[in-house]
Amino acid sequence: MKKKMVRTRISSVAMALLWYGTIVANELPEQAIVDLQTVVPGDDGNRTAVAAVARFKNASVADLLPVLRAMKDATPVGRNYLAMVANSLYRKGGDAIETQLEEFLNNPSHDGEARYMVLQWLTAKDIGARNTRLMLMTEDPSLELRFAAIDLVMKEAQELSDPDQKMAKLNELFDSARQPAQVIALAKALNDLGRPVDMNKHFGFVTSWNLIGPFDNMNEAHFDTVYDVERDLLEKTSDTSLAYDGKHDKVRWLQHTTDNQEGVVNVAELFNKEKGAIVYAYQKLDFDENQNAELRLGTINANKAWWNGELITANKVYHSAMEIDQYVGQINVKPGANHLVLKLCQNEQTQNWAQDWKFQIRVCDSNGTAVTPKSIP
Amino acid sequence: MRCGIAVLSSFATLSFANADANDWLQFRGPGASSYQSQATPPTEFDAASGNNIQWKVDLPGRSVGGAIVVGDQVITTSSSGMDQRRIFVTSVSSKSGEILWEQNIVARGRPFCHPYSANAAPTPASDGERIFAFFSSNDLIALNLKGEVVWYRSLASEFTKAGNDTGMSSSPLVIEDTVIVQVECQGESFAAGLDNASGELLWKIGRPHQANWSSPAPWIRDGMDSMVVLTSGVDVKVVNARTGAELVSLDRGASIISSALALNDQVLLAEGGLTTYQWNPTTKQLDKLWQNNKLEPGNSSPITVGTSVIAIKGGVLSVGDIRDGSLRYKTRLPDSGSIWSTPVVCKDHLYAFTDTGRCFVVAVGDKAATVVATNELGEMVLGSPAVSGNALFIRSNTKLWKIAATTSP
Repeated sequence: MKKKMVRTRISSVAMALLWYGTIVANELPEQAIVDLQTVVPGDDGNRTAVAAVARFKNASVADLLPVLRAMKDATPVGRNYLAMVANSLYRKGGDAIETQLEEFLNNPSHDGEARYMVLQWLTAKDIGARNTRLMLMTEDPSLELRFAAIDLVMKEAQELSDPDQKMAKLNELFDSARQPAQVIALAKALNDLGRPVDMNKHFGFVTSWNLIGPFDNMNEAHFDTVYDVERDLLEKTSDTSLAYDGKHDKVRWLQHTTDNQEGVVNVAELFNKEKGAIVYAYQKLDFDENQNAELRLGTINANKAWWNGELITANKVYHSAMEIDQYVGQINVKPGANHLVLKLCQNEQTQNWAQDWKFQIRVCDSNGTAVTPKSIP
Repeated sequence: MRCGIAVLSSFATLSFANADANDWLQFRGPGASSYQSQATPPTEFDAASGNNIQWKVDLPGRSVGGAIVVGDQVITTSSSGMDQRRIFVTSVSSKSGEILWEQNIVARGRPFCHPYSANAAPTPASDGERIFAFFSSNDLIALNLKGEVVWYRSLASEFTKAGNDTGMSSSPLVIEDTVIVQVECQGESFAAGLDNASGELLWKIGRPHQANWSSPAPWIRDGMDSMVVLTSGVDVKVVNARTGAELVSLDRGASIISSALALNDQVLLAEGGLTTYQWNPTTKQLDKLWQNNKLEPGNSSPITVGTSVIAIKGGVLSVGDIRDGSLRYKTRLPDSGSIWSTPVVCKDHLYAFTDTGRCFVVAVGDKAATVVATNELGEMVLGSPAVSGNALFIRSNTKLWKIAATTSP
């Protein structure tokens, strides 16, 4: 009887603990994770996020994996919120779920930023181990992991004494690389080995252009002026045999193909270093298939870019650096002819660092892989 | 040479919840004064020998901002990785140099900057309870003292044309319950105040469409609402820290790098050298008191100690009289290179760091200055030092250093 009572008491305690444990594990409503996943910028989103964060106060490491998994479908701001919550949860005892975290890291279908964080945690005390794992990730779907991996492998490749092995490894890395500075560094390394690569093809830069100008932009006054040529281009009634009234006199289309390996078109050189002026660049690109893509523009001048008549990006910024992929817009590539129009605006600044007038633009997917037209008519 | 700095300055102290006397809660420290009257860090230190380097710690990325001190934590930011999008906030024990916690996220705004700079360019700030880390990409993160997120605003996601591809570096400022940021550029250009606790946007005012790297400056006076001074190359505005309501403005530009300094009823601007304006309570305007183009702050911000006003440009230290702006003297710091960091004055010594990590320790007197030591950290320093107790905390490109007597705890 006594044994039965003890067994019953233990059983009751066990049930209570199980019930309490269930309550603790489920104390964090899924809604808190969903709220963070869907955070949008602005005050409303901020209020929702702050309230959701507060509900993680009693969360435990048992909630870490759901938070990490949720990063995949989160908004950009939401993903950062989830990342910071995950980081704090990990510190509560993430070592206890190391095996599950390993599985998470090794599954490339999970969010790349989350996997990057997990790699940092798992290898926090052993940078050598981190580097060893990273070096296997040169083709990882996460561009961040891929970038870090290629950086390490490139350094190692540069130390190879056999030039053929070095070239083969660097070539492999070049094919995988997507971050522009890294691509350029690999291209230079290959070029130094006597194996130049076609960076324009790799990036997907548009290199052949029809250009017309100059049109007036004195006092930066005409960024929004719709010159006749702009109207015609956007209506796709462009005829490159037509002349237009320019800043000084009639202007005609000029065909130009750049041989710059980063697709840079030097407008200043082509248009006599005109100041206070606008030049339009136009190209028609034929594609086989319908697909979502990105237009990525780099220019040191104020700019607008249109794709098939739709304004993709507009930036009234003069002489504030130029980067590959500086301005990114989403486009839909349709089968057949697609019209790309750029407006490049030069101002009258006299400083020697304010004389450039140039641009580079490419069509690629969201990973930065070139989307190549089948032809440029 | 006797050093004769008379400590007559009477900065109104900012009121921070839970501020400790050893705290250094923002760029330029208490009152943005760059001055600690009682601190006596070592005048000599050396990275190679470790002399008076109590500790140094490697950080996960680069920074050109300074560190802050909150209680026994030293807080610094870093950026690294692909396009410098990975941004970090790190807490280091001020006593041991141990990393206490670290948060990192991915920048959602424009991360591009000059190669000399970094996405981790602004110096963080704190109200004593929370840390506000701001980045060139206009990501603003609020963490509690355990490194847990309180709120986060990607200002570039909200105001999509905000950004400068040569980098932005204006440091956030905390005044009472408001954190203030200046986001000034050719695109969407503004200053804003956000509630410390909730991150709610309290006010946002348009600013000139021009690049600007100067930081907001506090103006706190007894009996008046707390104000913030916003300078740019086009205008100067003084607005209520909590509401953004304008008190006064000047239609003339000041430096777009050096920041203002407000003390008592005066505002000191890097305009035409240095210019001091006096608040006129009758007209509610700022009247020019004096201007001297021989007092040149260059890339750093001016400092006042006692009756001296100190500016440093291109290795030349200029010292003037704060009462009338008259130049007292100039001293060249030998082989200084470029100085981007605003120096600090500890008791009677000025500590000025060059971009190569050389530190000049200068006894600044009323009639002359003497270089008492030249020290080498051997790594780029663009951020300004933090002072706590008798220690200096320096953020160099990739490390955090504690300069303190190596025999003291």
